[in-house]
Amino acid sequence: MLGLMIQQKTDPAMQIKDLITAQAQAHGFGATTAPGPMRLNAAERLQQYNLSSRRHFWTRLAMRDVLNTPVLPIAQSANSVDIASYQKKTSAIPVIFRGGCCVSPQPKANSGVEVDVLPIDTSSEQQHWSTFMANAACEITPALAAMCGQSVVNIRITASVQIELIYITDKAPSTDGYHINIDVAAGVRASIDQYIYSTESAEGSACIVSRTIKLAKDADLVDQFVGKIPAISFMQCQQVSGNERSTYRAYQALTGGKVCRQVSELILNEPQASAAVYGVGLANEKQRHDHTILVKHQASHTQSTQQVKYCVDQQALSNFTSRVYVASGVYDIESDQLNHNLLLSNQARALTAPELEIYADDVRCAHGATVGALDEQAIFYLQSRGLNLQQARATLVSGFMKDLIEVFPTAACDRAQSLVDRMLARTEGCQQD
Amino acid sequence: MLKIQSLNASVGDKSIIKSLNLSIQPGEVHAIMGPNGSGKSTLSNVITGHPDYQVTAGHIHYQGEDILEMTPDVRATKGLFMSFQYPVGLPGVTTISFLQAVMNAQRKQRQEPLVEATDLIASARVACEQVGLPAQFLHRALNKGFSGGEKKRAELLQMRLLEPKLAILDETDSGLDIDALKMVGTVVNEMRDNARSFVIVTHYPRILEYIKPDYVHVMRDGNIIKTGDAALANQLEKSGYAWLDDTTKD
Repeated sequence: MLGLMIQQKTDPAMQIKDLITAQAQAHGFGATTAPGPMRLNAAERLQQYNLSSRRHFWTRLAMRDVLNTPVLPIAQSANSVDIASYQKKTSAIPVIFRGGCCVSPQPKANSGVEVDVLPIDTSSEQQHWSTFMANAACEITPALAAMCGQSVVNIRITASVQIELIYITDKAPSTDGYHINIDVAAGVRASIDQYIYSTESAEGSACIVSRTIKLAKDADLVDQFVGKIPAISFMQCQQVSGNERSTYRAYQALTGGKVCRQVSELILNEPQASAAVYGVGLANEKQRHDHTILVKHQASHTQSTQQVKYCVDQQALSNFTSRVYVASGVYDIESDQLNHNLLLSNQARALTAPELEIYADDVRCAHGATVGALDEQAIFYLQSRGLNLQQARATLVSGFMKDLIEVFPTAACDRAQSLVDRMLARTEGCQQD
Repeated sequence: MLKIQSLNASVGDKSIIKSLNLSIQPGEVHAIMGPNGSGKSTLSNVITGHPDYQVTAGHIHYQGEDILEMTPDVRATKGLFMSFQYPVGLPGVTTISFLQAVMNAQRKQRQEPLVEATDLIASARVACEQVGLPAQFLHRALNKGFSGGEKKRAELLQMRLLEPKLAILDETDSGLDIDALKMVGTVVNEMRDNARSFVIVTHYPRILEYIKPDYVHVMRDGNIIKTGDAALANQLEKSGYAWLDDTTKD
């Protein structure tokens, strides 16, 4: 709807202005000011690709095609033998989703985790689903909501535990959709690890996850997602709301996937709540990795951090769109918003838009973005010490990622580094002996 | 060890080195001095194999081999080393992991046993002490957030551990305090032997108070216009480079 409306206009600057205003209003903000010269330039560049806006760009790509595929009946592909086998291998509490439904048995009593699988199409869940998908996928929302195999699951965490959310897509064509409500009780320190698996036969399918995460007072959640997205499209929309003194930290390192798209809305509702997103993405071939983040500082003494790095090779595309919103009347706000992109080929592209929307005075917000290729002088420096060209390039790419991966918790850091090394082994010009 | 004959080199369309000749024997220390823009750093980069510099004529033979067709890493493996005037920062690459990577890359090419991490840490700690760099720097990203002096010390740390046969110190003395200058002199003098040679590229004679060169060359406009012994450096200290205008006219 939005895209159609904009296409009818001819002035690129006005298109952008209308789009920004519409998006702001959708988020409950007022109209934005008219676009300046930079907006005009951005609009002109988008016009070169025959695109009316960055967000509209998303909707034109593979996700729409993926969503036009038929959906398998829910739970058709659940395999209880495999799941039981997996559960024996992990000390964490796995919650397994497969073929559009939750297939995990209820965790043991007193484990600190309660899992409820809800009937589909309850009105409140449907509303939630639509809201987040609307933010993520613009006008394709109705089709999305109608077509996804949906599983709605409530997870209540009442003790310090580690949970694994495992998404399995092993049939094609299919669109597996999961809607997960996660409540972390007051004072609880928990961690979530997300994994996604698929078989070769699922190529072309999609896995779509919507999460609502509510952190009670003093809750602390570490949300990790490290791994290779299989040859499917993956989209995750999540809303995280933090209560007083709560802490949310997301660590993500993702490679692969046809489309890997994440939309995060981090709402800091109460004083001293904090949220952080640390992410690295490695895209090659014709993959695209998107990350859209909206941080809302709605209370005083709140902090947020976003550090996202992409390494883009071949004909891949990365897209970072982020906005930090600071509400009127709040104070003592700290926010960092950084995105760095490393392009490894002439055809690789990176779009980045770190934005601030601040209606308060006592605010410290740092934001910035870079897009660039490997530093030729650094390559020479490494070569002059004895590394060949491939080793030098691999060292620089690895270092670019490692700089951020090092802030991950130890286990996630090791897995992320291993992921980067495996990716480098397949990257032209970076293969080492 | 190094023989440069009628070398011409340029950056883009700009010719910088013009018919330069230089011969360095094993164990010798050569100082190359000259005013800004005389081509000293270009010469260092050409010897090391920087891809931005094109050799348009002449030869560089190192240990009897023409090295102009060799990539920088091959030259390094054969024992060439340059201490950079502006060392590059490497985010995410710790100094110790960098050292292990480059040492083993060279050793692998030379078919020598690879260095173990534990052995390297022990020797790197000793080398850190020698160059006046706190050992904690081994676990920091190389040259990232280092001060100018710390970067120069990190270059010397690498030289110390890589033990090159020919080391070029490209203005290593610039920006260093007196104690650091002495340290550079100490490191070079300790490494100096009958098989290892040094080229000290500098603007100022002061570093040569700590490192006694066998030869001092003065470059101007891409060529060596005067060669002498350590006394030449002293003369330049007294009279400046303008003094050369008079002597070369004579």
